[in-house]
Amino acid sequence: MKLKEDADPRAAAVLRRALSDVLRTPTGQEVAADFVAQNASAEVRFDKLDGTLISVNGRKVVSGIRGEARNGSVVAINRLFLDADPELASREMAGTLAHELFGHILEEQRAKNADFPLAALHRYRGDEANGRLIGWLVRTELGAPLSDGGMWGYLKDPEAFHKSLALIDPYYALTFGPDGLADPVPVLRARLEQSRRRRESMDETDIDMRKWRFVIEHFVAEHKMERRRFASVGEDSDNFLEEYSSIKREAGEVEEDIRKRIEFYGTPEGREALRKLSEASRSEHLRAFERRLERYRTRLAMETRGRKREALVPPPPDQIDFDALEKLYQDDVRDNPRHWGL
Amino acid sequence: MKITRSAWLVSLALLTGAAKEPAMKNVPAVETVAGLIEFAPPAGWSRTAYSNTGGIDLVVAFERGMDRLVVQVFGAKGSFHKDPTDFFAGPGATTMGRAPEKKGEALVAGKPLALFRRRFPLLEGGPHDSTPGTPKMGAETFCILPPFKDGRFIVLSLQRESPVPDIERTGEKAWKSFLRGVRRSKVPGSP
Repeated sequence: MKLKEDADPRAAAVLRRALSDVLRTPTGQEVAADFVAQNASAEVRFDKLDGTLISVNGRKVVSGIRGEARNGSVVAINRLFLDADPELASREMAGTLAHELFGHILEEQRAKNADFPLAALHRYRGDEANGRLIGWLVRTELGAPLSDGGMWGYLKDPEAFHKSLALIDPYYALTFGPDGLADPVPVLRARLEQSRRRRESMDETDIDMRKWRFVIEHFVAEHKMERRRFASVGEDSDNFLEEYSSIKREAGEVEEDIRKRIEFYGTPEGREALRKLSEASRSEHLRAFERRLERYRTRLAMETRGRKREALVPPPPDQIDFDALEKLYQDDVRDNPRHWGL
Repeated sequence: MKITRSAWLVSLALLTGAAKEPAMKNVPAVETVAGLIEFAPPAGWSRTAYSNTGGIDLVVAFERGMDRLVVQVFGAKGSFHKDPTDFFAGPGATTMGRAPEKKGEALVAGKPLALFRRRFPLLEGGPHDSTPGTPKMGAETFCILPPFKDGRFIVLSLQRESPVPDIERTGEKAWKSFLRGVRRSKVPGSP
C-alpha cells in the first residue's frame, strides 16, 4: 500500500494513524492478511469529495462522501477529515479506510485472481455490503460510538435492508443478490412497481404530517401547552416537508435509471451481459462471498451485543417527540371528542 | 401561529382525503407459514416472502403504504437467533441496543402474549455517505410466540417505516385483526 504525497503536512501522519487504527482490530488484521495473500495493492490519498464540515455538539464532523475506491487501485479519503475534530475523524477514517481498501480494493483483486468478471462484481449487492460490514466491524472493535443506523438495520434483516436501499439509492437500484444476478429483469420490474407504491405512500405521509401540524396547533391554542416543547417535533415536521419534494424527485430518478437498464438488457449487448451475470451467479466465488458476509454479520452481532447507539446530539429532556404527541392526541380524542369535531 | 378551532377543524377535514387503496390481489383466504401458524392475510396488502441467514430464517411480510405486517421464523439449526431470549437481546428487538418497552398484551393463538415496542433507524443515504445526525426512526410493535417442539419460534410484528405516525391508525387496526386471526397450524405433521 502506498500513501500518496500531499501538500498538506498533516496528511501522511493522519493516514498512517488511520491505518494503524485499522490494524489494531481483529477484523483489520484478518482482512489485511487477506489483502497481502491476494497480492492486492493500492495508493491511498486525500482528495476533494462531495461533503461539508458541520458542527455537532460543538465538534466538527464530515457530512457527505467519506471515501471511494477507484479502478481497483486508488482509495480517496475526503480531504475534509483533515479539518474535522481529530478524535472523531480518526475513528471515522479508520472505518472508511477499512471499507474502501479491505472491502472494495481487496475484492476487486480477489475477483481478478478467481477470473470472476468485474462487471458481475459491480452488479452484486454484496460488494457494498461487504465494505460496510468491514467498516462497521473495525469501528465497533475500536470502541467508536455505534452511530450508523444502517448497521442495526442490516443486522436485523439484510434482505429488507437491501430492498429498501434499492429504492432510494441509484447504485443499489441496479445491484442484485445471487438469485437476482441469475435473472435481473424481473427483479428490476418488481422494483419499479415497489418504487411507484413508495411514492404513493410518501403522498399519504405528507398528508399525515400536515395533519399532525394541526394537532400541535390545537394543543398550543386550546390546551395552552408551551410551543417550545413541540420545537423538536416541529423541526422534524418542517424538515420532512422540505425534503419531501426532493425525495420524490430522487425516487423518480431511480426509476428512470431502472427503466434504462431494463431497456439495455433488451439489446444484443445487454443480453450478453445477462448471460455473463447468470454464469457468475452460479460460481463458487459468489457462494464463498455470501458465506463471508454471513460470517461478518454473525461476528458483528456478537460484538455489538449489549452495546447501544450513542447519539452525538440528544434533544433537550422536556421535548415532546412523536410518541408523546401521538399519546396526547389519542388521549384528547378520548377525553375531549368535541375538540376534534367528534 | 394562532388558529381558530373551526379553521383547523375545517383544514383537518380537507386534508383527510380518502387514501388510495391498492387493488385487491388474489390472495389465499388463509396463509400457512412454515407449517407452524396460519392466519388470514390482511386484505389489500401486498405480500412478499424471502429469507435471511443463507435461507434459514424465513420472512413473510404484508405491506401497505408505510406499514408492514411481518412474520419471522427463527430457531432452526443455523438460525441467526437460536431462541427467543437471544432474539430479545438482539437488533430485531432492541432500539439500537436499548431494550424495547412493554406495551400491553394481546391474545394470540389462544395465549396472552406481551407486546413490545421499539424504534428502528430508517435508511438514508448511500454506502459512502456520512450522515452524522440522529437517524429518522420508524416504529415497531412485536410479540414472540412460544417456541414449537422443534425449537423454531415466530416473531409477529407491525412496522411503520416512517417517522410520522399514522393519524388514522390503519396499520394498527389491521395488526389487531391479524393477531386475533392467528392460529397454530393444523397441517398434518406440523410440530
